[in-house]
Amino acid sequence: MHVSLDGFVAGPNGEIDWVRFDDDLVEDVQALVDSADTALFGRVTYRLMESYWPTAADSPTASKHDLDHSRWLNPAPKIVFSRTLKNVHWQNTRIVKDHIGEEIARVKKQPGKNLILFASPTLGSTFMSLDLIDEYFFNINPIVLGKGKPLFRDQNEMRRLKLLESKTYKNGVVSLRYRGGN
Amino acid sequence: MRRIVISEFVSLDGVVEDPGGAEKFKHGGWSFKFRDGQVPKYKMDELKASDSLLLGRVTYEEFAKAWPSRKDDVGFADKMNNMHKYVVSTTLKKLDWNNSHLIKTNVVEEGQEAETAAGSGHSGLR
Repeated sequence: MHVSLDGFVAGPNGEIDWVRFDDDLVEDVQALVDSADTALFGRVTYRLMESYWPTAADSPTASKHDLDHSRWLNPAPKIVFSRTLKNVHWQNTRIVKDHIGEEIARVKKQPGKNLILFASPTLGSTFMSLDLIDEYFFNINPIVLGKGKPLFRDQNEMRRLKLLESKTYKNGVVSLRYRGGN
Repeated sequence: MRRIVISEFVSLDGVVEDPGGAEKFKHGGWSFKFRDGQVPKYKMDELKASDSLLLGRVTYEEFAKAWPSRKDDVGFADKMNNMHKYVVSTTLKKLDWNNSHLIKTNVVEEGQEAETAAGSGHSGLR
């Protein structure tokens, strides 16, 4: 998750043009993605991704990241958590409307790699409240946005995390990896 | 030109309230749960690099109550008590803590004056 220093994951209108994401960061994120085989999304992020990734690798201007990530994401099982979404048009995608905790517990028991929740701050907050997150990975960008979409929404309980790793990138981003729990 | 440096204890979700536990906040004192050998040295180095302290009213009142009676081997309390303190407040009338100066109005001009005044290093804000 890319985060501003003041805890926003997007500007007031969903802007993410401030996110610094260059080669050495891409490499680490790719390693994280490779440790997973299933993608989890909230509705808003899913919609954005669905409009980009199915054809991203076809573009003549596609970057190496576009190609690598397409190869992983397009065939991967994808779960969208939404009460309102009716149809999905991306391969290997299904919608989960409710009983999130039960569904996640069921999928986690199946053999396979990790499940990764991309962006989706609203869903992320729900997962946090339900204690479903085993590991957090934040890329703190050197910017104060002032307002926008908050990373931690409706979190009323104190929650202790364990720092597993921190790394400083040349572009000023600091990545923090935490173990979840309480 | 001296620099203004802001130094804060902050939680991952951006809360700075009551890190020390004196303000009666429900989770007050949270920063001390993560103290280790490196923190006091970091704070000492930070203080050594500064010669003035900039404070708002709430932190000033807390500090003015706590620091005058403190003593330690490394001289942290002595420096806190002796250094220049600039306190920005429109409601405080009188400052009892040693070497404290009240800034009531014209914060920008007064701040610039403090910045250009003779002195070593930078000023620390809390």
